[in-house]
Amino acid sequence: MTDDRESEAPQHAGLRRSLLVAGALVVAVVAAWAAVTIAAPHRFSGTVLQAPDPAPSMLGLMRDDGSALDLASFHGEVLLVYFGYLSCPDACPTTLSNVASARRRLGSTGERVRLLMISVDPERDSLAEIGEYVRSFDEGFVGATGDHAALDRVAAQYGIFFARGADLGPEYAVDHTATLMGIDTDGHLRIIWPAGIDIDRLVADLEELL
Amino acid sequence: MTVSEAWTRPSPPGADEAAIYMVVKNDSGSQDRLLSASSPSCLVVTPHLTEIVDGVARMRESGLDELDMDPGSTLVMAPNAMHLMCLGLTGALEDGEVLEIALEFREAGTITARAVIEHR
Amino acid sequence: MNPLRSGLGEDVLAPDPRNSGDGPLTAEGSVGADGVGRDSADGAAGVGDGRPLDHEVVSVETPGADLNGTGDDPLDVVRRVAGPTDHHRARVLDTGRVGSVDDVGARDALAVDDRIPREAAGRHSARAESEDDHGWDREAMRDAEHLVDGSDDWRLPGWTKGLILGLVVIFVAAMLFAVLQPVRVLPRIRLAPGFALVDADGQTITSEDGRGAITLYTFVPAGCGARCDGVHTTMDEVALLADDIDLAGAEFRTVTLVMGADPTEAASDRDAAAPSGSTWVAVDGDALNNVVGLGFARPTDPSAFSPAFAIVDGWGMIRGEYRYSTLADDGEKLLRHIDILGSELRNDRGFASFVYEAAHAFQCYP
Repeated sequence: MTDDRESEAPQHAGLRRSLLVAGALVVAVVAAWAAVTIAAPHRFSGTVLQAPDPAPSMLGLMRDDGSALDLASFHGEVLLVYFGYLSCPDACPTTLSNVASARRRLGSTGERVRLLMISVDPERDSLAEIGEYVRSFDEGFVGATGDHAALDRVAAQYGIFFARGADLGPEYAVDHTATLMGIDTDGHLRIIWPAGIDIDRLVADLEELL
Repeated sequence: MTVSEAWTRPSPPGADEAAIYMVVKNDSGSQDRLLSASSPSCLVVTPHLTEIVDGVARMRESGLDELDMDPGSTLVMAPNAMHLMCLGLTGALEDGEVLEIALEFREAGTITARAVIEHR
Repeated sequence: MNPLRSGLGEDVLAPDPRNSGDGPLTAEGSVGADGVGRDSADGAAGVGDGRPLDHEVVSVETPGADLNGTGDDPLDVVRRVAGPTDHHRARVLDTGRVGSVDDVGARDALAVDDRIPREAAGRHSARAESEDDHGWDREAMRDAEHLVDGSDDWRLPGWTKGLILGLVVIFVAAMLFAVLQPVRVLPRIRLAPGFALVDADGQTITSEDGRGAITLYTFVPAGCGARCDGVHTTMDEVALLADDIDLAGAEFRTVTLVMGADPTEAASDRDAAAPSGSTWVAVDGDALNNVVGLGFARPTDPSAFSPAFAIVDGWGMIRGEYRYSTLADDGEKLLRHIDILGSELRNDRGFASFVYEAAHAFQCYP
């Protein structure tokens, strides 16, 4: 009987119990944290739409290679759409440059990210020039423009406002909505990023969309 | 007065404008103001501000008071903010070259900066 | 002999009838713990006499030994010699041994000591009685359990239970949230169209004017006249009452799009209609197709009256689209929804934004 008691070694039993409890707790906390992290929706850095409709059509616009612009050709890729113009010296190059950097950072997955820049200034920007311009930032970028009627129609549906702005002598600056649109791999307009988006956040959001 | 980190982007085909960025630090110990700028590569250089308000990019000329510099202050010209707008480019800006720009200050006089042309 | 359960959580120490009063323990008397159970003369029950112990005086048989679980610890020695006791008791150890007691999860004997009611001495009852009858401080008893480590039932430390309870609460709250949807949000239906139009006063009104503001749009055909009075009344009512809604500083605007009219016609329509604080904007031609037809997805027949409203938020998103049932209903419904939008604008910060994103994800729409 004494042996039974002796063999118990209560200190061992107590220690083992504490360890079991601690271990179970750690597992529970880690599991809960993992569940929350995995299940929690990614916090996008822009406004997310829940619209089930496909992105508004870009019918009437031409790609920089002369062919008609068709959004369906971008299925399977994340398409970032930016409305700007070539003579825009600050906001436009900055946005294109940032997206190019983000694309580079994504490495091989960045292959499935494309940027479409639509010039709202067809008087000054020819298709060829637009193409050359966007590709100077990144080989995968695509340019497009169209006549005023088509531009008005497409821009209206994308919530883009543009109008001639401050007069700078013969060169005018076009005031325009500088938001960046994100169309996901299924062709739905998913997210609108405000102008001046941070590259890191853009990379994170792109990863989520891919 | 110190001007540093001047840079600009290569110009797209057919572009007549370029935005030049730099950092201007007033270490002279006295109040000063940027009066004007000029460059052999541009017809006119004027300071501009890009204001992105709720998503709309609007560009306008800087007011004079925006070019005032208190002693010890630093004026940072960077993308999507202030920049010196080079209007009427006399030639294309090529990657790797340098654009010379002269800044005239009320007290500090004329300071010439060399803006590197590179993709950023 | 009392059957001993083995393993964790058992009542290791049970009175051993063998040691009825003649163990070396009782013979040695008290040890250094202050003031408690000094002597069997105080009425503390002797070990092994069959009566439950209130507290027990323990002496260290082998001074200098550390409690390190080797089996030579004073506790083991005591148990071997004195026999098991009821786990509700407190063990008062030689204060010299207190430091090393930590190794086996015990507490400072002096601290335990303080909580042991002095008057417990002499109050004894059958072991089957509840602990409370002993007059013990429950906390002291719990602490005492740790003192005689491993000797009690499977009881988790208090903080563990709290943590587990917290996790369960969070889980249940999440489930309830998903099911009951207490937070409602207005869906982000579509991008509001971009436009630049001219209003009845000749001013240019653009979609960008709505940045940072909540705008209520309505669409009336040119020359609608009295048929559209209800719409104008509703717009004004909503505008008036929306003033009372806190939209986190955002302005509330009303815009009436007059379809198929030029600015002059829009002006005369406005003058002929009931007084309205709304901005009357003319939209015609291509803009009518683009902005109203495609953008707002509304029918654009300038002669047909199809009353409708749209709420656009400060980021250019259409958050609500409304067709008519009755005029009265729509005014209230609009205000309700504007209120929902207002609370999202007010509260969507920091941690709460997780809740609102979840509400969007789970489609908790009114």
